[in-house]
Amino acid sequence: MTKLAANLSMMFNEVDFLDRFEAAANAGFKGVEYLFPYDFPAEQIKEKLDAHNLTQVLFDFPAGDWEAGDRGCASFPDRVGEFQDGVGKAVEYAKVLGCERLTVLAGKATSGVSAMKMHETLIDNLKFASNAVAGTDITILLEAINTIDIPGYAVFRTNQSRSAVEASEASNVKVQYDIYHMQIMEGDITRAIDANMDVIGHFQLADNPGRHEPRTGEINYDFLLPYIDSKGYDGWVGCEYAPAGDTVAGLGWAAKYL
Amino acid sequence: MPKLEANLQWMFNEYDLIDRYDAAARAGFKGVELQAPYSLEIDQIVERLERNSLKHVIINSPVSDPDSGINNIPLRSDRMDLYKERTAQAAEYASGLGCIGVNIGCGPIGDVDPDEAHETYIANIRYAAEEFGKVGVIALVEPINTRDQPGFFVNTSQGGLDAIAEANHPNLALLYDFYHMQIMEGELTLTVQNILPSIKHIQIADNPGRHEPGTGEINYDHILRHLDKIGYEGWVGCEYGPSGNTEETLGWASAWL
Repeated sequence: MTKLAANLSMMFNEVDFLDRFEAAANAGFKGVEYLFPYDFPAEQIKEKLDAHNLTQVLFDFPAGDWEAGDRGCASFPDRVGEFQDGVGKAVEYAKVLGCERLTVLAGKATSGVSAMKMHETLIDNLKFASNAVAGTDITILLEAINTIDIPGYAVFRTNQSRSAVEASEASNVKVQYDIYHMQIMEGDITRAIDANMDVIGHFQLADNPGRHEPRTGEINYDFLLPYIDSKGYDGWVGCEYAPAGDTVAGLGWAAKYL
Repeated sequence: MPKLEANLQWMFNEYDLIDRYDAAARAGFKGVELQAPYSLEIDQIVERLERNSLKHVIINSPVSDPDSGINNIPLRSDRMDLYKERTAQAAEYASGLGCIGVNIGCGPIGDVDPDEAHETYIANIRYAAEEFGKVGVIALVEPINTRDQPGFFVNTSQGGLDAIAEANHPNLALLYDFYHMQIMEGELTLTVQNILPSIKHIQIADNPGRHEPGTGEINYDHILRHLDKIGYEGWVGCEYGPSGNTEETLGWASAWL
């Protein structure tokens, strides 16, 4: 049975962040994910999770200066210290929140650093993060992101994320497969899922174009979600989409899972 | 409202080839396409079209090499005379059947030198465009996925557009097949929207499996409505292998037929 997590960075924007936990629970979600918890004390978020009986499914490692355009810092040789500090901070939050998945954001390609050097740095950072959570239930995830929404993003195809994950040589490092991003970059979703199920640790979804809820675009999630289920995937599927209108009014597609 | 037409090579295989025209009309289709009508007489087909008030939308040029059996004579410099003969045959059928267009073929590169294939292909599609233009039929370039046909020479929408631009003939247009392009590149809705003026025919099937819409990862309810919204006025060819009996697996199309 498909387990959907509400992405609180994109959904339930009708209310303030800390009120989105209650809104997601009221809509029937049992799990939540979002980009970052770091603006709030971990204990304050933990209270919300407990009050509404929610599982903290996933959040991202600190990703540099988001306002200034950073989308991660894990591929830059001159920012390894910053990445490592971020790992420490994220793991502290994850332990308080009971979160078992942390996502690495690779960052945007910058002039002056070769793609090869960025890839090597990313692998080293994945290994560092893997060691930092050794002996815990936490899995480190790497996500490929489309370069239309984030021009220059360093990891933008499934085989890139897969090869970095494999090069990290760690069983607690896996691929986060976002169906929306990969429909934009490569298509052939069902076969890509088949070919990579052995390394996929988390799914995210949104329809395309628009990044709204399923049934608003070209992807048939009524086929894909049961298909993923049939392959034996027992993890979460994060709803990382911007509702086309009111969040709850747009949840008809999810009624059979919530 | 999308104008669906039935591909008689793939659909209605429960019937003999000539009887598929009647079957498609009975199912509600107003148009048909057929890659290879050449085993039938033109008059014989026209009689079925008239009886059933059907439009024969497209056919394909016969591009199979008589020695190798590979459908790639448009890429082979030593077969240019044969491609001209086949183009003449396709023009006779397309004209006789009242087609809007002909898929002028391409094929897997096989052991052909890539530069030779490229040069030959561009010259051939320019020739085909001129010849089909004489009988009022559009010459269509179709990119095809390399999973089903390894080495297929034109295999992305941009590759098709580049070939058309290079051949530079006003009677050339793109045949966009959603199934092939979902396998090769994804991003269906915005691609079609962006290149719509270059597209003169569309084909559909779900993926994986190449069965009817609703059996795979593509949301055709969205795609077909979107084609309407952006003003596509051509036909949509149902080039899929039904997952069961053809008539019994047409539920997805009931809103359009």
